[in-house]
Amino acid sequence: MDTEKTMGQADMTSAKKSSTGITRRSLLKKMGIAGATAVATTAAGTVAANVSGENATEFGDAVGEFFQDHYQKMSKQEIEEALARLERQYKRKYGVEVKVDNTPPQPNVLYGYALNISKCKGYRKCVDACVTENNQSRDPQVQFIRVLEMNKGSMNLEESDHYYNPELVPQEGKFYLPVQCMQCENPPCVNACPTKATWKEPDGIVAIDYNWCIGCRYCMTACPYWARHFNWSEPEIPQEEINPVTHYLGNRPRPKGVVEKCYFCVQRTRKDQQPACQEACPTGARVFGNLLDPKSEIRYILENKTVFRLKEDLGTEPKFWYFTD
Amino acid sequence: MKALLERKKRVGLVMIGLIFCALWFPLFAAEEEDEEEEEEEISIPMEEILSFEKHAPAFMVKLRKEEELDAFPCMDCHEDEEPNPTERELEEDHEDLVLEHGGGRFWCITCHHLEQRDYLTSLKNKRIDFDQSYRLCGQCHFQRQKDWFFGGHGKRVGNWKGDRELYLCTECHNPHSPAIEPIPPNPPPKVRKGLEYVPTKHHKHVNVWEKYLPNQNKEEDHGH
Repeated sequence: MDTEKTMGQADMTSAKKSSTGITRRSLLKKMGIAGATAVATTAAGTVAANVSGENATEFGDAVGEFFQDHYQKMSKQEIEEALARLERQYKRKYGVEVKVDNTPPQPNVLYGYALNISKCKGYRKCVDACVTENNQSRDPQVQFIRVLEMNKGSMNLEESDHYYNPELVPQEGKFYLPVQCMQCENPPCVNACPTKATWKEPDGIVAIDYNWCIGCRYCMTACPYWARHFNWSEPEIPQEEINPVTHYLGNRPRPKGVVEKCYFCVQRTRKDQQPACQEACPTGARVFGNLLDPKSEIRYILENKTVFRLKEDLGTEPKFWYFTD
Repeated sequence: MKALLERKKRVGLVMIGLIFCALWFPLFAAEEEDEEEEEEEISIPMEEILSFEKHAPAFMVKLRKEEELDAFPCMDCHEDEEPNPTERELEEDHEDLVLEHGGGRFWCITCHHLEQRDYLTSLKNKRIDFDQSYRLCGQCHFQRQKDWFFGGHGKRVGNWKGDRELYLCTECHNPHSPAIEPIPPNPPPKVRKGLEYVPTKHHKHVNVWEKYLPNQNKEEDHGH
């Protein structure tokens, strides 16, 4: 019954369309596009006039930012303009010469992370290194890594303690489970994003274009790992603590009202460096590397250790494994 | 005739010379061999090194003996002293040493070479360089050593790509008391504004969870 009805409606619509030749909807759409193009062309002219050279004004940059396209749609020149614009904006805002680069993914590289929970002692050294490296807001605090204190013999995340603060760690009967973005191969956050502001890069990093994010936080609800964080207010970073080496998809200072998360230190790892959390970990619990290189440490761990992934049953295929000795 | 005699004489001289050399040659050769043998005797021969090291991806270690060990070279002090292998109360520079490794079953010379103090020693009394201490540790901790060679234990420093540089065992573990003591953690994250710590009743220890406060804070600035 239902099928017939639907088919009938469809027929009617097509009949209506063919009789007039143009629907109301398509007419409005065409008019909208034409109008927007006209505005954009005028504005782009203004922007071009303003952007060229060092005399770019704050207003010019604001207009340029407004008309900036999606990262994946921008031409090489447009990206370069966007990077220069961001550098000027950061200079104005923080008084620091921030370098925003756009290092492309390396060929034949797929990043993976392994973490030895027998070795993690809950020092939170990785958390602090991450905050410093990635220009994360100090107040309100945004932290990509959440170290959970867990009861030994249990994997019940609901009984974990994120705010543990004993005098000494590790505590008797506890183990520590750091959780951050798992750079899922099948990322639910990417599927949830209505503006396609987040996507999976060829090297496996799930990136965010902070200029394209509208702050709807759908991705945060979709993420089963609590890996995404929202900038509820203007991020505060002391001027002297700003890390000036940044990447467009990585640690460039974020504005208020966008979502951010761990991106495996894209500004470092695409230049062969280790992520900041790996470098800071004093126990050597963290192993980072290329999953496509059969001689890499991460491959040795995946092939020789008992590994597991968090909430594996959800089918998100995280590229972040936990293992024990 | 005279010429023939002269010739014989000359040949004879050459022969004597040759015999002389032939007699001496093995002596020289033997001396060289001795040196090689001696070197082999004091260092671990390659064939005795566990195959893991040969099959592991190439690596280098962050050197320690010159850079980190204050008292190195040890022979600066030990040269003038007669080696004393007997177990005793340690004095002078070594009185602070706590020897917990092995639960009291070890003495200095279990790991340190008795005569050549600038080296460690293997169980078969072969010399081991301080910067190759993993060969010493691996004699007992072979499973850890295997993991270390391949990247499952220990820490890689420098880049994830290119040359592998590893920390030596002693970079993290004090070889005299290798267990790592607990330390204070870095401060916990702040609870988001408008939220408070709520102990969860399931937890036996004082624990926390985030829960919305009643609306009393509504008038405050919700900056977060």
